[in-house]
Parts: sequence; structure tokens; C-alpha cells
Amino acid sequence: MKIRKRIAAIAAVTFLSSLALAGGAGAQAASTTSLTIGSVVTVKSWEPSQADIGHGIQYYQAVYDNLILRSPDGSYKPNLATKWTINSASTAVLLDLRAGVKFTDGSPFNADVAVKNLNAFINGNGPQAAVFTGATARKVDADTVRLTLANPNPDILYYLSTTDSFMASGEAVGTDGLKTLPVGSGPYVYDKSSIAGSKVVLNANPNYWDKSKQKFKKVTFIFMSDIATRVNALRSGQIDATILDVANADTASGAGMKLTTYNTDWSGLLLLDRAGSVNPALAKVEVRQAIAYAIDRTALLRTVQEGKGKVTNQIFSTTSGVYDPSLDNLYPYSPTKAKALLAAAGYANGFTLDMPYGSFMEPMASFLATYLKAVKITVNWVSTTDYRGAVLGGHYAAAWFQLFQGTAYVNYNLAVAPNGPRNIFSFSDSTTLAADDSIKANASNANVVAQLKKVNKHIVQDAWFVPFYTVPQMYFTNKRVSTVPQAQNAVPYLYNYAPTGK
Amino acid sequence: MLGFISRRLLSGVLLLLVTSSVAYFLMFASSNSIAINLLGDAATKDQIVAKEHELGLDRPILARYFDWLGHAVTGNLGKSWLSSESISESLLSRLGVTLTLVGVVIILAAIIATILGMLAAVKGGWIDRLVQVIGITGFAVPNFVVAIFLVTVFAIQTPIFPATGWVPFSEDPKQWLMSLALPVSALVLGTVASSAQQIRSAIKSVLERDWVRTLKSRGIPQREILFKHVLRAAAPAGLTVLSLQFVGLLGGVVIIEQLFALPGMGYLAVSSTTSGDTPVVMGVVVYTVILVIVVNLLVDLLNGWLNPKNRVK
Repeated sequence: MKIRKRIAAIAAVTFLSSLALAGGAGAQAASTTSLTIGSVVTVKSWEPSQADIGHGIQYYQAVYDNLILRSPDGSYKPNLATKWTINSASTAVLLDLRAGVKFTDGSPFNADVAVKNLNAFINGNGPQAAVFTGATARKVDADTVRLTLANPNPDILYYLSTTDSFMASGEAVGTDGLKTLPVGSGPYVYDKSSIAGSKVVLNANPNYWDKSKQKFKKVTFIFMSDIATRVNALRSGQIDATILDVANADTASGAGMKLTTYNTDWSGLLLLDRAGSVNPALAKVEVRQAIAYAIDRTALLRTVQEGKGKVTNQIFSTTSGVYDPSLDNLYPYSPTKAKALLAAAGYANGFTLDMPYGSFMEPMASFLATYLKAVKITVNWVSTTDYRGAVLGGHYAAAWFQLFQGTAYVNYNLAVAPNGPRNIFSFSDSTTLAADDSIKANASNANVVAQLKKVNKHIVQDAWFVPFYTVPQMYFTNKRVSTVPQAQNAVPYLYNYAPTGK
Repeated sequence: MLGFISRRLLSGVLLLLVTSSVAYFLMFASSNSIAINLLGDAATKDQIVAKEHELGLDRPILARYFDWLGHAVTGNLGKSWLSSESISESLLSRLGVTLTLVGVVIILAAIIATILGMLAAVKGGWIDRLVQVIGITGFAVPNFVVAIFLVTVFAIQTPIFPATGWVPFSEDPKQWLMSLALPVSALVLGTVASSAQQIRSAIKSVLERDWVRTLKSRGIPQREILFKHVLRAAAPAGLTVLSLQFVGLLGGVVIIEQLFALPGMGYLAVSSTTSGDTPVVMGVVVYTVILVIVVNLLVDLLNGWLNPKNRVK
């Protein structure tokens, strides 16, 4: 009997301890003056030169200001530069700098600091540094700098307003300390309670010069790579905003979260080896066109994306200025037509196509293999744990990818230009070379649009890519926070969030 | 005893050397494109080549390995390629989270499994069967499923505990406890399941020994026999199971850390492995092996203290 009592007592203590724990306090609720974002990336380095577009840019926007501000609709506004002049060749920009701005270490912002930062970016080998390869930054006077490019760049303002001109303290630029501790003039100041690779805590900068961009007293980023974690954190009120996907959208909407949706990516096949160096079949235009005809994009959109998105043949977005609606009708699903084209190219019996494979591609990979098998193209999926590395390594003639749709020129520079990072085999032909030369000779907006329209039509007709559909971003916020999508970015810019007062 | 400890420490150093070498060459074989991961989507081939040179990836693998080893033996594990953070500092801050999680789970599991094991061995009948059902259930249901269930019920439907996140003890002890509640609960079930049956068997086996019958025949109270003699004699088996659970949890905690967004070592291990951050992976390997060696040594010493027959000459 005594043993039973002892055991019962221990059990009771354990149980009561649990109850005490449970009753102790509720889940932490976010304040209306704070913003907590569930982020899918972490900061690799706080050096401004290492900033990247997409998900990561929000971190840098919190602590740094860039020279030019990009509005949600993509238009440009003054920031640390109050005005700017671009030369007619789009090879140089003269920037007038704002006076009276100080960094959080007390040092002033001026032309010397701007030049130091721009040069650090040009020489820093960061994610976006290639754009300014060979560029030089020079001080004109105390509050004016000139950036001169090696090649014409019609989208120079885009680059300066995204990642290429974040300004750090002149005392900190080039030091090792800046990698782990940001020193900027931005709306928020890094709090040392942050945990590298896990949580970034930022408090409002009390001396910030533009209060309109500082809408919260505290901003916290929590790295949550797992989508189920982000859903749970959002539903339980631990985070105010995060990006989800089609599969989780209904759960979040059902819990009362507000969906903001916009397009920044397209999903489809990169037919990279257009010269046939890895797989000779892909050198034939007919073979690439056959692949385009063999895939039922509408069915893929319905089954993989639950119908959310838009079937397209184009890598350029509808807002790019070079998009042509008629091109989206070019490759209706037709296995018969695909077989005929393969026969005309000398591949009536088909061929084998090696492509990298990751389990995240399911169920799409299975559908793709089935569609291609129906026209006698056998897909040999090669499993890899490093999918991006496999695609970019130049070992595969083709690969599935979800690629960013930037502005027309950014998109061209990324995927089509002869030295574009996603033109893995550096392929070019007379049409793209002519367009490239024309843009370099005349970088006016009218000529860029005219040339890229030609390029768009050409690469669709020659099936450089087989886009399936655009992928809508599914960004969710709770009732405490509102946000506005940012043109050509995966997530809203940090400036686009605001408290709702609820 | 001193000789025993020295021999164990020496074999531990050899184990550390072998394990770290294997891990280093496995990382090389997996050849993740760290430069591409660092530089992002817009990186050109020239940039990638330059970044690989900067990281020393264009040097022979053996030269890189001996460089790493030379620094590691002096305690310098280097800096993360991804975050530039000192690996030792990063691991130490994360080790606290993982050890707290695993430590609390082991303590709770030891208490619950001992109670259940003892009840099952002493009482038999339905309690014994219940322990067996708990054992099978605990094995059958993965801890991440338990975690999802707990989050849904206790963080979303009834918002008692936070669904994710970690609050340091120094910041707010109450919130620290709250942030531990669900991840610990998710891990405890499986740990109790695999420990309770072992403890039950150990106690049952001791209860059947002649000396226990002798103690009973002398009229010594059952409580005293159970807590003073039987439990002590059965402890080594329980301790061994719990030490194995501890080591297993260091790996098993990875998914739970990811699901609850806890800044622990397991989470760091996965993210650095998938991104190809070799210096961090090597740091995780070194720290984990050291932990395993220390835990095994402590269990051996504890077993010897509990039962003189187990003391190693």
C-alpha cells in the first residue's frame, strides 16, 4: 500500500508540474508595434556587398539604406541619393547624395563613404556583383558620386535600388566585423540577442532620417525552412507574415490569414544544351519543339499547382513589356505533332535524356517522365542532394527549374544573354547576338524593349525553354499586419509592411 | 580507475580522429556546390571559380584535410563559409539548446519509465500490458507525428504553448519552460516507450533472484527491498538504455528542432550538410563525438558507483 502511495505521489507531482507548466502563460502574442516574419533564408554575411535579391533582401533593408528606393510598383524614388542622372549610353550615373545622414556608429554618410561601399560591392564577388564587373565609382564632390560601368546597362536603376548600393558605415566597410555585425543607417538596428542562422532581432533606429519607412518598434526574422513550421507559427500567432505554397494556402486562409498573391517565377524545363555538346538531340530545334508539344501544361497546372498560376510559353512576365500573348498558343498539347517533329529530326525511335532529380520535384517529375515517354523520350532521372549545383554544373542538357521573372532586361541577362548565369552552356545564335549588340549600342528603353521582343519571340519559337506556367507566390499575413507585393521580388520589401492597428 | 579513464579517453581520441576523417571525405564525395549556394542565382561561372578559390576548394583534398586537422587539434574549428561566424561560438550557443532539450527528455523519460517499469514488474496484470501497449505505440508513432499533433491541439486549437521558437532561460525562465513543453513532450513518448520495457525486464529479473526472496523471508518491508536493493541492482541496465537513448536523441532531435524552429545543433547539422558548409559539419561531428564519449564514460563510472561488481579494474 505504501509503495502504491509513493508511486501515486510521484505521478501526481509529475502531472501537477505539467499542469503548472501549461497554466503558466499563454503563447507569446506579437504586439501591433512589432513585426515578426517567418523567413525561408538566413543572412550569410551582413556585408552589403553580399546582399541578394529575393527572400534575403529584407534583412539588408532593415539595417541599411540603398541609394535609390524601389516602390512596390517598380518605380524609383530618392533615398540616400536625392537625384540622379544617367548618360544616354546607360554607362554612367551621377548621384547627388543626401546630407545629414549618420550611421549607427555615429559616422557620417558622404561621397567618400558611398564610393567606398560601391567599390566594395564591385570587388566583393557577392551574388549580384557580376552586373557591375569592371565598373568604377568616383567622388565628384562632397555630396556627389559618379558610377561608370564597363558595359551599357539599361536597368542600372533596378540594380542600384535592389542590392547594389546598400551603404554601410565607412568605418566598417572592409572589416571582418561587418560580416557578423551590421553597421548601417537603416530604419532598424541589429540587436545582439539575435542568434546567427536562426533569429535576427532588430529595434527601431531612434535617429532614423525617414520615419515613413520605420513602421514598427521591433522587427524579428525567424528562420523557418520547414513549411509546416511556418504554417503552425502563423496560425498560432507567433509570426505575423510568411510565404507558404499552394498546398498550405487553404489551411492558412481557413485560419483567417490574409493571402497576398503575385507572380515572380516561372516553372518549366531549361533546354540548356542547344549546341548538343552533352546530348546531340537537343541541338535540333525540332527536338526541343517536340518536347514543348509533348507536355500537357494545363494538366500539370491543375494537378501540381491546383490550377493556381497561368499556362505560358514565355520566360518573360506579362508586366515585362516584351510579353506577347499570341506566343502562349504556340505549343498546344499534341503528342502526335511531337512524334512527327522527332521523326523529322531523325529521332523517330526517341532518345534518352538525363536530367537531375530531387524528391521535391514530385509529383511533377512523374508526370513529365510519362509525357515524354509517350513520345519515346526516356527520361533518366539522376538523383542529387545538390540540385542547384547539378543544374548549374553544366553536366545536364536539360533540367527542370523554377526561375525568377525579373524586369525584361534582368530576365534576359539571367537566362538568355551569351554570358548569362542561367545560359549554362553560353549558347548564342545570330538573333540573340544581334539583339545583344544592338542593346550595347543603344540602351534606350525603346530599343531594349524592341530587341527583347524579338528575342522573346525567337526563343519561344526555337524552344530554348519549355515553360509550363507562372508560379504565384502565396504570401500570408495575420490580422495585425498588412503588406503590399513588391514588383519582381519573391517577398514584399520590408518597407511594404504596416501595422493594421488590430 | 585512473587507468580505465585514461584508456577510455585515448580510445575516444582515436574514435574522434577516425570519425572526423570519414566525415571530411564523405563531405568531399557529396561535393555540394557551396560557391553556388553562397553566390545565389545570378552568379556567373567566373564568380563561382573566384569564390571556390577564395574558400580554397581548388586545392587538393588531402592538403585541405590536413589544414583543417592542424587547426582543429589546436581547438580552432574555423569560421562558417555561410555565415562567417566562429564555429566554436556557434556550436557552443547551439549545444546549450540541444543539450537542454535532450537532457530534460532523458530526465523525464527516466522518471516516467522507471515508474512504469516498476509498476509493470511489481504489479503485473493490466499495468504490465499497458506498459507493453505504450511501448509498441511509442515505437510505432514517429516523434514528428506526435509533435504535429501536440502543436495542433496545444498551440493552435487551444493556444497554451508556443508552436515554435526558443526562449533562453536567462531571458525569461517561464517562457523558457513554455518553449520546451511541446518539443520535450514530443520526444518523451518514444524515449519512455523504449526504456520502460527494458527497465521492467531488469526489475523483474532482479525480483526473481534468490537474495530478494531471502530479504523478503527476513521480514524486510517491500518498500525497502524495492527502492534500496532491487532498484539499485536493476539500475545499470536502465542507465545503459538511457545512455543509448541520449546518444540516439542527439540524432533524433534534428527533426524536432526543425519543426519547432529551435536553434539547436541538429538543425545546424542538417542545414550545413545540405548547403555544403564543410567547416560547420566538421565542427558538429567533433562536438557530437566528444559528447558521446563523455556520456559513455559517465555511464560507466555511474554504473561502477551504483554497483561495485561493475567496477572496472
